[in-house]
Amino acid sequence: MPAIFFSFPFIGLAANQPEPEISGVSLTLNHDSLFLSFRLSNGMPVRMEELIKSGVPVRYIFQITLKKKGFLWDDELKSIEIRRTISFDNLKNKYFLYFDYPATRLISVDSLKSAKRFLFSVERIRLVSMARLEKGKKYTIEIRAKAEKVKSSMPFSRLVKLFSSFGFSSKTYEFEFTF
Amino acid sequence: MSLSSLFEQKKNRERLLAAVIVVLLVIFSVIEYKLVAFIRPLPKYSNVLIFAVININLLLILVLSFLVIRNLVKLLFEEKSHILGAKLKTKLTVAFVIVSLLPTILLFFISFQFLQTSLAYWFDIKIERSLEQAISIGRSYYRDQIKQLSSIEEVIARQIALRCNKGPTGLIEEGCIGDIFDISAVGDPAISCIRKLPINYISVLDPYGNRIWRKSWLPITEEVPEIDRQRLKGLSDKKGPLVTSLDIASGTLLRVVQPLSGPDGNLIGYIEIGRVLGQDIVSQLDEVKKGFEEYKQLKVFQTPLKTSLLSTLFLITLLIIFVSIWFALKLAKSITEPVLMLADATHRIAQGDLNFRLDTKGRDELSGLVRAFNTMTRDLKEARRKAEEASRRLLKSYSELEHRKAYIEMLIENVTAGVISLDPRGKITTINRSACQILERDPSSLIGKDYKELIKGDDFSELEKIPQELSLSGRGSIKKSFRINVGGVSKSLIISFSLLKDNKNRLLGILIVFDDLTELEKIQRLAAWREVARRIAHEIKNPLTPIQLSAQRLKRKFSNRFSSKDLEAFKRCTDTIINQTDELKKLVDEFSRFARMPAPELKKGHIRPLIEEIREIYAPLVKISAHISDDFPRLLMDREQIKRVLMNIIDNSISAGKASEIDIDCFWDSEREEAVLKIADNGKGISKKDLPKVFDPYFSRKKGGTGLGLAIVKSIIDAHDGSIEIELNKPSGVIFYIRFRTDK
Repeated sequence: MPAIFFSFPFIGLAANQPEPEISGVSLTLNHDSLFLSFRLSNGMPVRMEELIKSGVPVRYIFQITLKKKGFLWDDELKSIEIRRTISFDNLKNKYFLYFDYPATRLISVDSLKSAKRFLFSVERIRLVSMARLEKGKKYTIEIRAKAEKVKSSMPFSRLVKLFSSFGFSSKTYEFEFTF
Repeated sequence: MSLSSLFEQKKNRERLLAAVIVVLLVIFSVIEYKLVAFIRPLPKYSNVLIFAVININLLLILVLSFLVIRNLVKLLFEEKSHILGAKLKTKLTVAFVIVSLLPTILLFFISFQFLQTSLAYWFDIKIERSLEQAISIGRSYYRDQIKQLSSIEEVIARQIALRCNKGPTGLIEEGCIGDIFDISAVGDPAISCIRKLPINYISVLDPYGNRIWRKSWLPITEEVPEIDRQRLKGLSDKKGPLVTSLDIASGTLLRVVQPLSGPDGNLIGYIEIGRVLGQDIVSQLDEVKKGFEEYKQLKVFQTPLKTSLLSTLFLITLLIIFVSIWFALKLAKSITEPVLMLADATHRIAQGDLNFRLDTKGRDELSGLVRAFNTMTRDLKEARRKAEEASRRLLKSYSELEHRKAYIEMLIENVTAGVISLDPRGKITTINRSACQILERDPSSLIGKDYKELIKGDDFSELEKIPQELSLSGRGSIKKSFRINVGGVSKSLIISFSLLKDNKNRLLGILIVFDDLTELEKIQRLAAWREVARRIAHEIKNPLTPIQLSAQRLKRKFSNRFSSKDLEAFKRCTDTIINQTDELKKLVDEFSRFARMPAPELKKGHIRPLIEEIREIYAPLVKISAHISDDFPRLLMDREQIKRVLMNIIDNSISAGKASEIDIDCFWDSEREEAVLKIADNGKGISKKDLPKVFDPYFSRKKGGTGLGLAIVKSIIDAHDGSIEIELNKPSGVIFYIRFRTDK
C-alpha cells in the first residue's frame, strides 16, 4: 500500500529527461561594462513542451549574481533576474515570447525551435560597470535557471499539482574569473 | 490507583504518541526525499506538500493499524478474561466494522472502475480527433480572415501607392488617402469598390511607424492604439504581414499590417487594416481553443491525473474506513461503557456502597438507563436509611424491652415473694429465686415441668383443686393460705393464683405469687408472746411478793401453833408456797426480761475478753475451748447483750443438751463478709424437726424450761442486725452460727 504513495513524487515533467544545464557562458567587455552571455540547454522537457503546446504559459527565470570573492564572505555586486514567458496560441498557431529584461519585448514566432532559440539564449546582459571591478580580483558568477507555470485553466490543476510538478529548477552554476 | 495518577499516565501516553508521530514524520520524510533524490532531483518546494500528504497518509495507516490492533487485542484480552461487556463490545465492533466496511469497499471498487472507464472515455481518440478538427476549423477561419484582410490590404496598398505617392520625396499624401475613402466623392469605379470592402479600420503609417492617417467604422467607437514600432521593424524581412488582435468592446479587432512600397519598390510606409470579429464568433473560437487546450493539458497529465484521482479516491476510502472503524470502536465503547459502568455500579451497590453515582450527560436511552439507575440507587439509599432508622428504633425498642424485661425479671428475681408462671398446659415456664428458696428447689429442675412437681406428697391435694377453682372464679384470681412441708420444715404460705390473659382474652397461663409467712408468723408470735409476758409480768409479779411475804409470815407466826404432825404439813405447805412463789418470781423475771428487751447500746469492741469472761464463768461447769482467728474484726455490739446471748446458748447446751464440751470458734467469712461465731457442743442435741422451733418463745424440751432463752438470743441477734442459725453437730450436739454484718 505505501508503494502507491511513494510513486507520486516520481511523476514529474522531467521524468527520464536530461538535466537542464547552463552552457556557453561567456564574458565580454566593452569600454565601460562587463557583459554576460550564456545558454540554457535541455530547458524544455518533452512534457513541458507538451504543456506549452496545450496553451499553458511557462515562465523561465534566470537568476544571475555577480560576487566579488572576499576573505570571509563574498560581496554581491549585482543580482539580476531575467524573466521570459512563452505561450502558444493554438488558434493563431504562433508562439509568443515576452521578455522583461533589459526591456520589455514581445516576439511571436511560428516554430518552437525559433522560440527556444529566443528563450534560452541570453545575450550580452550588462552585469556591472568596469569602474566597479578591480584588477587582479577574483569574481564569481552564479547562474540558476527555473521554469514555472504561469497559469492554467486545466481542470483538477490543484489536484494534479499535489502529485506532479509543473516546473523545474536547475542547480546553481558557479563560474569564477579574475579580472 | 488515584484518579490524578491515571490522568497523568494518560497524558504521558499522549506525549509519547505525539513524539513518536513527529519522529516517524521526520524519518519518513528523510527516507522519501532520499529515494526521490536518488531517482531524480526534484525542486524541494514542489515536494513539501507531497511529502506532507504521504506522511499524513502513512501516519494515518499506522495510527489506524495501531488503534485497530490495540483495540482488537484489548477486546481479545477482555473476552479471555471474561470481563463483563467484552462479548457485547466485540460483537458490536465487528458488526459496525462490517456494516461500514462492506459498502465502503464496494463503493471504492465501483468508483475505481467508474473512474477508469471515465478517464478512458475522456482520452478517447475520437474525442481527440474531434477537438483537433474543431481547432483546425478555428485556425482555418482565422487564417481566412487574415488572408482576406491581406488581400484587401494589398488592393488598398496598390491604390495608395498609385494615387497618393508624392513622387521623389517618397512620402504619402494624406489628403489623397482621405479622398479614396470619401463616400460622397464620385470617381473611379475601382475606388468605389474599395469603399465597399468589409473592413472596420484602416490606418496608414509613415516608414517610421508614425500614424499619418486613420479611419474607423462601426462598431469601433474607441481609439485604436498604434502598433508597436519595434514589431514593425522586422516586418519587411518577414514573408507575411504582421497580424495582431485587440480586444475591444464590440469583439476582437483583427489587424493586419503590411509595408507600403513605392513604384520603385522602396518603403513609403505601412498600411494597417482591421476587421472586427463579432463577439459571438470570438467566443466560439475561444471556447474551441479553451476546450482543445484543456484537453491537451489533461492529456499531458493523464497519468498523474489518473493516479491523483485514484489516490484521492483511495484516500477518501481510507479516511472513510478509518473514520468508520474509529466510529465503530467509539460507538461500541459508548454502548458498552455505560453497560460496564452499570455492571460495576450494580456490583458496588450489591456490596453496600449506595453513595456511588454514575455520571451521565447524554440524552440517549443508555443515559436514561443510567439516570434511572441513579434514581434507583438514591431510592435504595433512602429505603436503606429508613430501614436503618426503623432498625435503630426497633433495636432501641428491643433494647428498652429487653431492659424492661430484665428489669421485670430482676424485680421478679429480687422480690421476696415467690413468683411462678405456668403455661396453659400447666407447665412451669418461669420461677424466681424467692420461689426456689421458699420451696428449696433448683430452678433448672422445675422449668418445663408440670406444676405438680412444685409440691409433693399430701400437700399437693390442696393445689390440685386450684385450676378448677380458678376457672370458676369470676375474677380470674384466688388467694389461699397453705401450710406445706419443705425439707421437713413446715412453712406457712399465702398463695395468689391469677389467670394470665392477653388483650384478646386468650389464656396464656397461670401466675402464682406466694409469700412465706413463716417468719412473719414467728415475729407476730414473738410480739404476741412479749405482750403476754409483759402482762403476766405486770399482773403476776405484783401479787407474788405479798403472797411470798404472807406465806413466810404465816410460817413464822403460826408454826408454833401446830402439832408436830400438822406443823410438818403446815411448813411443807408454806415452803411450797414460798418456793413456788420464788419459782413464779423467777418465771416472771424471765418473762419481764423477755418482754422488756432494751434497745442495744452498740459499741465497737473485741470479742476475745468477752469469751474469756464466759470461759471463767462456766469453767466449773463445762469445758469451753475457744479459737479466735487473727482476722476476726472488732464488733459493733452491746457487750452485755452479747454476753447474755453466749450465756443463754451455753446454759441451753448444759441444761438441755447435757454437753460437757463446748467449742467456740470465731472467724471471718470472707465470702459473705461476715464475722461468724460458731458455738458447737457435744450434747445430746435436738431432733431435726424441732430445729426450726428452737428460737420460738416457750419452746422447750427441757423440764422446767421457760422456752425463752433462745428466743431472747434470737431477739438480741436480730437487734444487732445479725442472724443466727442452728444445725446438728456430728456425732452429737448442735452448732449455733451467729453472724454479724460488719466491716473488717
